[in-house]
Amino acid sequence: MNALRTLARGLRARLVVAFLLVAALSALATSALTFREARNAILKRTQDTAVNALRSQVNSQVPELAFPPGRDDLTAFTQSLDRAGQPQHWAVHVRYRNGPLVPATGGRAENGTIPAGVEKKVHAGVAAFQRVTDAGSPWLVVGLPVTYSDGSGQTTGLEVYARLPLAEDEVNVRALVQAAQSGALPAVALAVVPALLAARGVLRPVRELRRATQQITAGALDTRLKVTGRDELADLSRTFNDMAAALEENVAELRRMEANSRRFAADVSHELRTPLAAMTAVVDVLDEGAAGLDPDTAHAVRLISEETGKLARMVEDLMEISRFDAGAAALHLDEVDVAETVRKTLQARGWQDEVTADLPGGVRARLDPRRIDVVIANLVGNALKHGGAPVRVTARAEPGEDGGRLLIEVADRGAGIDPEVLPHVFDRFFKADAARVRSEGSGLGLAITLENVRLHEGTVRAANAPGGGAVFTVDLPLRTGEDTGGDDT
Amino acid sequence: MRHATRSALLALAALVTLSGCGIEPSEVVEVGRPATGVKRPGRPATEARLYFAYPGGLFGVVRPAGGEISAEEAVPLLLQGPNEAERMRGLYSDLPKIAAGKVQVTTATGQVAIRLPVDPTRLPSVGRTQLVCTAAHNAVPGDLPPDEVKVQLSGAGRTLSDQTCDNRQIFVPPGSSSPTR
Repeated sequence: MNALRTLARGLRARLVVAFLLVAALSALATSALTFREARNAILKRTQDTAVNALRSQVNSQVPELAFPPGRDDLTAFTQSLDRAGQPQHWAVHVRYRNGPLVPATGGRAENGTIPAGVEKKVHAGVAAFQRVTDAGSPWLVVGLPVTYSDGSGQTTGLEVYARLPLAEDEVNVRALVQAAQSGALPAVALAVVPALLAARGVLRPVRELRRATQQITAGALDTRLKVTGRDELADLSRTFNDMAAALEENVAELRRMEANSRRFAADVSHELRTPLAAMTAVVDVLDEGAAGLDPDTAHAVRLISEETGKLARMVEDLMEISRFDAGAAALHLDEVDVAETVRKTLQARGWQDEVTADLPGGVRARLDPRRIDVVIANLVGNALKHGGAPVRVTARAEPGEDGGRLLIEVADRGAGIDPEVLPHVFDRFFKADAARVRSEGSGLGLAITLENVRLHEGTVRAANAPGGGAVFTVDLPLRTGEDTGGDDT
Repeated sequence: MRHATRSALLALAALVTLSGCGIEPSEVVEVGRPATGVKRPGRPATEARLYFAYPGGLFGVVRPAGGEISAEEAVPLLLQGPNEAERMRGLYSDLPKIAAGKVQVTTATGQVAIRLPVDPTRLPSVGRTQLVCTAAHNAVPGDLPPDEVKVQLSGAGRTLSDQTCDNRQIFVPPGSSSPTR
């Protein structure tokens, strides 16, 4: 039903309907006008013939009529006129002065009445006719007054009326209607053909436009339309091509700029690493000998050592991010026990006393242990640094459509995260606390976490728990059912 | 949508006009001159009386004229044959086509002589009677009754004398005025 309505409102249906209406109207108008003219011509010919024939018959026969005529004379006169009027099938009635009509009218249809309007005209000395309908069929009634032959034009009081059936003309008129209908209907039906052609001509560019738009939406920015013709639709196609070209150019420019900036960051961090390694080695040596220095110098040396270490970590993080950006980060999947992996991470950082771990045994997943270690370490470290104790880590498996999911949650009991900055916590160098200019981390920890989770085709969400504190949830596919052979990259 | 409805209504109206069309009654329409031809009672006849053939005999028709018509004038009228109205009544001429200029009609008291370009004895008898009666029933000097007028037909060396018009040969429709004078 709905589809039908959509179809009926479509361009094709509207064009066809419009064409049909125009065709029907013009065909009907033409037929109606032609019909009217033809019908009037037919009737005029019949009427003129009848009136002229009757007049010439009366002119020819009335001199033989005894005058003033008696009733028998009038009867004989009408019979003679009836005989002469055989081609027209007329029936003649006459009246002398105010006498009765001879023969009397009334009764059968062929013997119908004379209309009063015609009688009135004839009384006044004017020849007249009128078409009437008697018993459902059309008749022509002609009335002629008769004047004296001396040229005075004075009426004699003799009136001749003739009634003619118009049945033959009616048959002709019906044939005309038939012809008009049988001419108009095929014309209307034929109008469907140009309507469909026109609809196709309009709809093809529209369809191509839609297809091209879909392709561009799907990412094929080099899609172009073939422009044919010079109409509005061709203009639209041309404009579409211009738009697609501009879009493609802009997107290419943006990509180039982004690639440049990433490459710059990668190059910078790479270039920084070598001098930084030398610095770290020198600073370590200085740090070891700091005990033998005077307190001010020792403090300065320790500060330099600390900051150099921080700088080295930041460069490492930058290089890690650059590897992700360059698509050079590889995933080395291994089936592991999740509880054990998490516990190892906590132990390696010395956090097992500060962090509550809720790790049911027997949950196994295929993942990259090194990267998951980084993820958990970043999240727990973040919670310990910015949230409040106790920090709690839970891991559990959930059945899902594609082989189950592994959910790892890291929750703290701190103040939580400002809802305004919640969407940005995974951004690079994002600082939740704007006032705290210096931080112990590189500012890339959560960004690296996000990239690692993404590499696993998982997601990571940050939220505030209803009871207070921030909750980070890592959602990874279990992949336990997958082939263990070969590493995913 | 309103536009479509309007168009549909228009089409429907046109359809109704087209389908509702047979022969419709009309007003009273005036149509030209009245018929004429009645002579005033008591006035002398100003008409030509011509005799045409009719299945079963002769039939006299009257044609109104401006004045009295003599036999000399009536015979050429006869030779032109019946007019349209007379033909519709079923009248015809049994005479061959003869140009009016080739016929000479002369009259004397109670007598008419008609000179034809053809042999009068070869004419059909009805055609001959047409000529004789037409000549006798129009104005002839002497004002004799028509059946006493003597008519002479001649042509191609042959002559038929003393022909008279026998009124019994003439078909008189009931109700018409007397063909005799």
